[in-house]
Amino acid sequence: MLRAGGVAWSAHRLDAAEVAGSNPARPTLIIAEKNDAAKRIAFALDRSYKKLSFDGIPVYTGLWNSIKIYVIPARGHLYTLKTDVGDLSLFPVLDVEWVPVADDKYVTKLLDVIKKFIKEASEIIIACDYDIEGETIGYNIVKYNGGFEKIVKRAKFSTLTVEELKQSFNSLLTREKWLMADAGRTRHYIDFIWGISLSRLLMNEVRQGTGKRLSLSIGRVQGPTLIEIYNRESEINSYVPKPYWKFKAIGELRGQEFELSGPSLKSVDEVERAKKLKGKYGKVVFFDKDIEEIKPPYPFNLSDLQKEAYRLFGIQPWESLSILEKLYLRALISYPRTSSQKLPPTINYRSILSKLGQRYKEAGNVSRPHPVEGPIDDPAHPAIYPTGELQPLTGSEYKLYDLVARRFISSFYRNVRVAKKYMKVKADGFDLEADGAAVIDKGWLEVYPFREIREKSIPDAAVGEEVLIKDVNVELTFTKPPSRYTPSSLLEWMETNEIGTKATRADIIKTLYKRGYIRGNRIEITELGFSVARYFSFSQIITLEMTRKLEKSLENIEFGKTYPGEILNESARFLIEELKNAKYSEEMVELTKKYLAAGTGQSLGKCPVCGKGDLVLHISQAGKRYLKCNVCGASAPLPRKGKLVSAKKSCSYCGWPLIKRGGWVFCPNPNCPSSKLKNA
Amino acid sequence: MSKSELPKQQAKKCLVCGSYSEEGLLCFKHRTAAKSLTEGYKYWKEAFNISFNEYLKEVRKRSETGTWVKEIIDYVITSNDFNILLETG
Repeated sequence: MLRAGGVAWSAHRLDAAEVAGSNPARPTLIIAEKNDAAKRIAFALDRSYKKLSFDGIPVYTGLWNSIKIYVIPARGHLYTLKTDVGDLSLFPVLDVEWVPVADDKYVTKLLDVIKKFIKEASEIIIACDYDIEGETIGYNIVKYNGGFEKIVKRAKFSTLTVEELKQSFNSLLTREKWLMADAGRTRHYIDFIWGISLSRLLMNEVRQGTGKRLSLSIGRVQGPTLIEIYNRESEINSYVPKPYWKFKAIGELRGQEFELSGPSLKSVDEVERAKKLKGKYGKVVFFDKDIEEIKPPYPFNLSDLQKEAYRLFGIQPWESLSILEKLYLRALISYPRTSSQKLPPTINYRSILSKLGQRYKEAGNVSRPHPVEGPIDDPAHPAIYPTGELQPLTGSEYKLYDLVARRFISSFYRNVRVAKKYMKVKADGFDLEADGAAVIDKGWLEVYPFREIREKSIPDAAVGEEVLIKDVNVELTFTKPPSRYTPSSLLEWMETNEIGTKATRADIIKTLYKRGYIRGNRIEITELGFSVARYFSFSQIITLEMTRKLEKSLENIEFGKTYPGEILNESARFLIEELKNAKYSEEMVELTKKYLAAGTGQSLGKCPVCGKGDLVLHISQAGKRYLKCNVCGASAPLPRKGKLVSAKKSCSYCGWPLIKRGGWVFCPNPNCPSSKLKNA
Repeated sequence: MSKSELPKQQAKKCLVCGSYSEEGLLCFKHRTAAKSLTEGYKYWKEAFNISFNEYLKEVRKRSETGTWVKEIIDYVITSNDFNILLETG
């Protein structure tokens, strides 16, 4: 028996007592994605809504158009894919099914409550986030609880403001085909069969070669991403710098000194020739000046915003997504998982600008009736914009909100105007150049000051005029290896190469860190990551082209251009074929042995905190080593270098397992009384 | 006879680092580095007109030089086994 607010309750009693008492019609069930969204929907539809609790599950109820409504929040995905093929040596795994998320009592209770409400409802509205994942969440809940025997509608909204929610529920979408759910479910299926099959292939190879069971995994999108990091690592490690000389000169014309840049010099002979220019005259062969108009930056889509947040504040892409979701759930900004760089007039520009004017005086100085927009559109949602609602914010939440608000206002602002000059001078066979820039109108930089325009003064000139070369400066320089990826630039690479989705890319990078394949903010590949990437790069099983092709096919499902069955068959056939061609790689096994020798992943003793788990050696993103219990999560820092092994003894002060590095035995517990004694 | 002149089938380990070598006398890492190293000489020769030996020493000093390249230079200089640089696949 479920309980509501401490009162014994059943779905039958709810129907009779609550529904029939106020309205003979059967209620409408609304499924939201998260609790905050459910609350906002209930409030938008009935300001005097009530919160009920059924066995700890919150349900919001009220009246909407004289119909009783119940809004139930899901908690992300309540269903997941599972296989019964438990033998790890068997792959490919193609036999999978959707099941409720296992080992989660809350989900079990929640599904129980949902099932009862679906039974009583005459109509169900899926009000999860309007994208592939949101629709998959809602669709699975309805499908596996008998909901499609009822009328099922879809709510589409991009902000959780009262106004938009009301509008959305007054114009609900009816669906013949659930294409977004089809695309989402197919993506989950393909990712699952590829992930589990490739991971089993990897683990089998390592087990055959090393005799050790190492938990390894790789995914359809993680694979090419890891290979790209591996390629970059290889370029950096095999880099040979090339020497050249930077060539600068100081010119004088019409009484003004200014800087001239020459070509890169490749040899000492050229350097000697360049030095001899000092004191000679060159001739202006070209001069031009113009006013450059710089338009405001495009409204933010998710990846542009993630890149900007990393560039300006060092906020990691997955952190910014999590913060943006919070801001969305508080109705401060629109839905963040969007590719769009466009803002339709239906969002009511004037109203938002007027509300923002309370905090940003610049919102009153805009000069364009419509915003400057970028070329990318997203049929599901507009670009990210502030709703105009204002709440006190601090820290990273404030920084990201401020960025969104300023970017929005700036898109209505006048252009930045820069006076530019360009001069070309010929001197003793060398082509020298000079650029000048001066800002004459700050335009949108007044509200979005996160771009720098370097100002530089050069004189006006006429073709044929003589320029005195007052000084020459040559500097021996060496070319540099390509930069390491950062989480932000890797995200950009994934986007450019069209792998993953706007919603999943940041999490894929995070997973590579979690699995110990990469480390550091300037991303380095670990020995283990190197061996996995090398294996897949060598075997050509997961290529960028294949991943991109599958992404395209998945997109086509969403737009009704192809059917899930077709893609599933094609993908399964391809997987079987690829696995047949997989070659056993001794090199990977050797590298993995090295990795195992370094000790990562090994248990260094039993956890004294919970008494159940093992304290396992991990490497953090920053390359720091630490112990972490695989059951309770208790952790302790470790020395960064040296081989660590268990000393096979426990600390007599605190009971933590002692660790040995060379001849040094120490207790890793940071709170161990023995360390306090030493410090005293 | 230098080590790199041994029959290839005898060598399963990289001469530079001892790692497993899929093909030849160098592992993937040092084969890639050897290729970059031989290709890079022409730029240094043009710039400074230096010998190959001097080139190796200068490249070894630079912070921009990759780790695998430094490792193969160390091997070549200490073993005097220049033939290994022809192992570039």
